[in-house]
Amino acid sequence: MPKAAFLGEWEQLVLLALLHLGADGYVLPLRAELSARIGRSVSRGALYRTLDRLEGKGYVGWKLQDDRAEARGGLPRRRFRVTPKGIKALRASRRALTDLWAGLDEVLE
Amino acid sequence: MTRPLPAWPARLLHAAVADPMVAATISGDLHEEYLERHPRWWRDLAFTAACLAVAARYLPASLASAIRVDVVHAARSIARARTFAIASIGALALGIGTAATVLTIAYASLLRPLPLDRSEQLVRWGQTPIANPVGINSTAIANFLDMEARTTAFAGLAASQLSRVNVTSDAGAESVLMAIVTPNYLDVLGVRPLLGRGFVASDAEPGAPPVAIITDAVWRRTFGAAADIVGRTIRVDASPRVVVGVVASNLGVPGDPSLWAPFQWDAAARQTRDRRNIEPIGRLREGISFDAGRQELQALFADLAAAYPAVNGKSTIAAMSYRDFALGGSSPGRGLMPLIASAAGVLLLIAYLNVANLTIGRREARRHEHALRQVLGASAWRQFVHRMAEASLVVVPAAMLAMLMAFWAVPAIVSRFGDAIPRATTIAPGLVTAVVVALASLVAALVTAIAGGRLRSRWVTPAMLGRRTSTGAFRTRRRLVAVQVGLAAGLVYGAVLLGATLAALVRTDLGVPIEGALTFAVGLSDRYSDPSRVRGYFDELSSRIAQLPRVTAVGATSRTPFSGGTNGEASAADDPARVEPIAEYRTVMPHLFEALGLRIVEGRGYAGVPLSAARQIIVSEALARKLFPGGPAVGRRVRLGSDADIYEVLGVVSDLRDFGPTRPSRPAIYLRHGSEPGFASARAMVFVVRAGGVLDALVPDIRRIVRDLDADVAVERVATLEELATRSLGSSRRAATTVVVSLAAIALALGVIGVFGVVADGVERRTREIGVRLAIGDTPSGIVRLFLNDGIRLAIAGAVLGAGVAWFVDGLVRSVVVQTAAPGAIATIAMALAILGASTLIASALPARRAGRLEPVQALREE
Repeated sequence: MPKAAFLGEWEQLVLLALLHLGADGYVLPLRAELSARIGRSVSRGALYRTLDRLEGKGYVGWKLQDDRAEARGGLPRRRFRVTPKGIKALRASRRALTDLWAGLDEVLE
Repeated sequence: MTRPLPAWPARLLHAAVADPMVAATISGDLHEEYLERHPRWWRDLAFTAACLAVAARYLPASLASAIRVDVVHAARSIARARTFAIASIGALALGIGTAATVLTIAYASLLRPLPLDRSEQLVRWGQTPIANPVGINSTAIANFLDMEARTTAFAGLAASQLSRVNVTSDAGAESVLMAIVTPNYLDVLGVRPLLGRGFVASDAEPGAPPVAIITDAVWRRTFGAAADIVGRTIRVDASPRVVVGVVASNLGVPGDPSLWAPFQWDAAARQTRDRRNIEPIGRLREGISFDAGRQELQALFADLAAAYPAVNGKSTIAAMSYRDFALGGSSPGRGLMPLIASAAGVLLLIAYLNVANLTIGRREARRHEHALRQVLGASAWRQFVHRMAEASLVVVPAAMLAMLMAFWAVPAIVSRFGDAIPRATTIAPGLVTAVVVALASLVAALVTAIAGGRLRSRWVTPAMLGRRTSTGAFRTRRRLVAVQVGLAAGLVYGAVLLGATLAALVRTDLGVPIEGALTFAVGLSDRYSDPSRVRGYFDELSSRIAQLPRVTAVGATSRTPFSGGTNGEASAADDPARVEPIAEYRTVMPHLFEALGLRIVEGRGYAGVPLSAARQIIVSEALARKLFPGGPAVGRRVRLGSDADIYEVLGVVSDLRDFGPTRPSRPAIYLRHGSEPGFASARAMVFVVRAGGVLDALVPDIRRIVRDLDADVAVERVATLEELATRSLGSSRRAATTVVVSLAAIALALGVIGVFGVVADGVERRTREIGVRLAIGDTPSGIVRLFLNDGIRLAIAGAVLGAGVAWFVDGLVRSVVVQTAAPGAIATIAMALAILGASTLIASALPARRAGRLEPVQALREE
């Protein structure tokens, strides 16, 4: 397994939130979802940079949509989805984490 | 439709993000988030901040981290110095905001070009007496026509006459200002109609169908911007006129008439030379100077004076640029603008000094930190970037606050003092405001960066790592504070001078009780051609209003009280040597004296005297004294004007200061409305209603009575007598006084804060000395005195510096205040010094008291 398969915590959070959103994988709902789940506001810049990075690694892909142009000053929006490669990376991370968690319940409870 | 978000932050975003498609979608996300938010200024601000934040994330990592470190560090150090930040931001915002507000208004009212084609070619001219050539008056129609026919220097001469008319629409009668003009007037001004056509020569022929041009504002307000307005018939003073065009409003014509109509001079009118009732203007030909134009007009008029010596012999021509005329000529409002602008400039300077002072104080407090940074190897460049980051954290919020302040203050000032400001209706904050704020902020950033200056020495000495303020910096701060106090003292002097003058004017007794009386004007159209119909209307109106509950007296006069009037000569018929050359003429209805509150001091009033052919008049006490000194006036005979009209004095009433408190009361004659001669049957009268209770509650009843009597007549210029009295103080005078007093108060507050800071710093520096003094037997009160003296020395230094500023301010203020009511220089200086002394004493008392309470042992333990 190549090294790059391991995901950062922040990358995991973004990918998982995207999976929760399903078809509604736009930036605004994504930021709202993340903020709600982790309980603090998420910097826009950080979110965009993370999405760029995930895209570069091939874990997310996006399609342009023009459906809400009038509310967006005539500008398109991106609908993100997690690629099969991204799902694979999430699985790998989870496996690694579960392995490490195993047997530590008493210490961390 | 929602207004679009600002474009430049989005453009910045596009520049930062490499992929244009990604940039577009990010920009779209931010649009979606902010587009519908309110209020707009907040929405724009938040959107801009969000764009900047995202763009910063896309900057190359090294640059981004460098900037971030500095900004974050600067933000942290500013956050630690909260008092410094609040004081600096507050002082700068006040200074910059005031400057932006004043300059926005000054530019829009006085400097902005008139909306007329090549307005520098336009001239306002008119006849003026040779003996006393002040002001520009009107001219007579025949004189105007002769000069128009002969001029070569002017491309066109035109003339106008302003009159108030009632325009009737579905909404009821509305009283508006109408300019009756020669048909070429708008062409001479260089104004093209927005809709329809201008006037043509045939419109001005006697008997031609009456036409009118309305302004854009009336078209929108009264006629709902109807597309078919051209060709519509409107009713002006109850007679029909066809609208032929629409022109822009606010052409710079004084009074901003809402309606334009052409003169229709018949043969008799064109021969009139003895009535000067039109106001001429002209447009110079290309290449002809103003002086050459004026000289030609004077030469042409000299010919007319020679040809008609009886009517023209005593006159010549005066001229001024149309621009000066449109912007209020030499009215006090214009004279006050330099004063207010100087005050705003001084305040900005004080704000800069204040920030410099605070920055030096802070630099000193942080010398330790700076020295450490230097020891640890921070380059000069890095230190500069850090300082600029810190400066911007103070200046940028100050600039934003200043902008907000200007956007709030400009409309507030315009709505409060609009009648004192030329072109007030067209003033709004905009580009000029932004430019002033930007420039002033740039200077502020430089001041802050310089005052926060680089450490002088390349070498860090142990002393620099100490925590006490250096002596050099302490002296600089004292000097800066002294200058601040000095500038503030100068402004306080000006404010005292203006305030004391206004207070003296307000206290002036006008001769009548100004409370409890309401006034309004009523003008009848020329349908009331018969004097008996005019009299009938006004009698009926008076008696109906008198029946309203709470009304105790109803009278009417031909001129609005306290706003000047018409005058002429009056002399004792039996002794031609006793002459009053300028007696005020008023035409009044019988109960005016009771309604206004004038006392009958001799004889009787008109009330109860039948209107007969007997020529009787009532005169004021001042006139009676002048014409019939020593004896009773009742029964004596008065000659009015130069004609043979002789009247018998029926009564004498007390004097009225009918020109307001700024001028003394003048001898007056009260003719009875409806009596001979013909001019005493004026169709426009100002009613005075004396009543108990709330005066405003009477207005709807009065409007109903007027409407019931004749639906084409409008009630105009409703005002209480008290309002008229206040107005007679001069709105520009009141406006300037309020503004200058506020500016002086802010300046004084900033100066006093400076004194407080410096004295407090002194206490800190001399703590050890205080300990020694107390240890060798000085008393706490002695210590308090020591530091109070410190504050007083600053005040004295400030007062000495302030004398120069005060001298300059004195010249500016005295040229605009009413000399008779203004306090003398000594009294003003005394008052200003008292204010200055009291405030610096309070400012130094606080730290001085703390010094007095120090425990000697603790004080000695310092260092």
